[in-house]
Amino acid sequence: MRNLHLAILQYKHHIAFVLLLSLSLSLLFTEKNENIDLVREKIIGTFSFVYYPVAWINNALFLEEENALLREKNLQLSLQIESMVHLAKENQRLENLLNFKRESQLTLVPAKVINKGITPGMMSMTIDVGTSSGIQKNNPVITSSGIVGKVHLASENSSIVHMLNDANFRLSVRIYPSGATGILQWVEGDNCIISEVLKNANIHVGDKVVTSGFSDIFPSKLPVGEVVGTTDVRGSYQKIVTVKCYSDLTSLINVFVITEQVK
Amino acid sequence: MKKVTLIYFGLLTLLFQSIFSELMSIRGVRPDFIYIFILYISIMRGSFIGMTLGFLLGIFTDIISAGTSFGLSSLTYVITAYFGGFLSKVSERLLPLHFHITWITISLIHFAIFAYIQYQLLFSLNIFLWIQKWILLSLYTLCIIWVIQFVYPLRQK
Repeated sequence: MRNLHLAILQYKHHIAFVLLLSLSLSLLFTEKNENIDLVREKIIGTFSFVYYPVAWINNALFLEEENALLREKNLQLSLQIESMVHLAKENQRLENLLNFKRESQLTLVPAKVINKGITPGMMSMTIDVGTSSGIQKNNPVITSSGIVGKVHLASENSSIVHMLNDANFRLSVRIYPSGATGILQWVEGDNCIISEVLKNANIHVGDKVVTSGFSDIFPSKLPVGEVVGTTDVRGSYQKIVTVKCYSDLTSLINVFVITEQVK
Repeated sequence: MKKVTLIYFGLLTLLFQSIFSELMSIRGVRPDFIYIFILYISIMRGSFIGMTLGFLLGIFTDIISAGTSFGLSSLTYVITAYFGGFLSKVSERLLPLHFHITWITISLIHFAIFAYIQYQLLFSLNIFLWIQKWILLSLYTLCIIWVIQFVYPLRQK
């Protein structure tokens, strides 16, 4: 017994290494576990208060710049509104004629970004709304420009968002006007690729990329980006489409969470 | 340094990482201060304390991050601490150059494992882009360790 005790003491480094390595590997290869998710939600809720002062300082620093940009945007939008009011009236008349029904209506919850994740290489951010505002896991997160990501975990007053520019994020998309569909994933910078697109699809630079609506998470026709190139895969029936995303995911301050989609 | 103090330092590093790493990010690549902390602790205090702290901080890092690889940070920190501990045992016998080459190699292995698991698809799609990602992740943190060396050298003796 004493010998065993001495042996454990002598080799404690190796024993601890094997134990901790096995534990880490088992966690890594474990499928989704609800208990782990529950613990994560509790800890995120407790930990998120740390981010608020820093987010406040960041927001204050960029306030003046943001204000100037908003004034400029406001002017541009006022000019656009004039022409759009006229177009909207005409559109309304035509919609009534065609008995057009809107395909979906979205309920949006505004949120402020309070942190942008801590792990090098994993793209996530924390927002200041949670289950108390009706946020649930897998709710889509967008800006006025397009898709940002989806809610990964939601605690009472904050949520973690898995972002579009994370290597493990996938999004089912459709390319217009061809109507071809594929799976979008991030590659580098603000560039993404769409795989599983049929080679005979007629796709050109400048084509619009929107969500396909095939998934239960993202509603259809949300803007994603614009085609900047295509590459044929040799020996395959598919091609790879390169896309530039609309949303600037590096400097997000405010986002919207889609909490409800009325079909 | 007492074990409790080390735990406090670990939590402070975690806090520092969560608050300041994004401010210092370049094209989405952030420095890994927790890695630096674990490397220092394992070289100065041995692998056992390093591995324990590495595992705990790794788990906590994974808890408060999104992403699918839960357990990845603890895995890589434990490996770093184990080899860092070995380095602490033989550091007296090593030439300064060999010592520095060894910890840089440990760092490169750490980030290679991290990048391989995190960017598996990129690895299979475009190996050059994956290598670029790995090098960027490693270099940024290595540069910070290099700066810290001037204030608090890894090799104390």
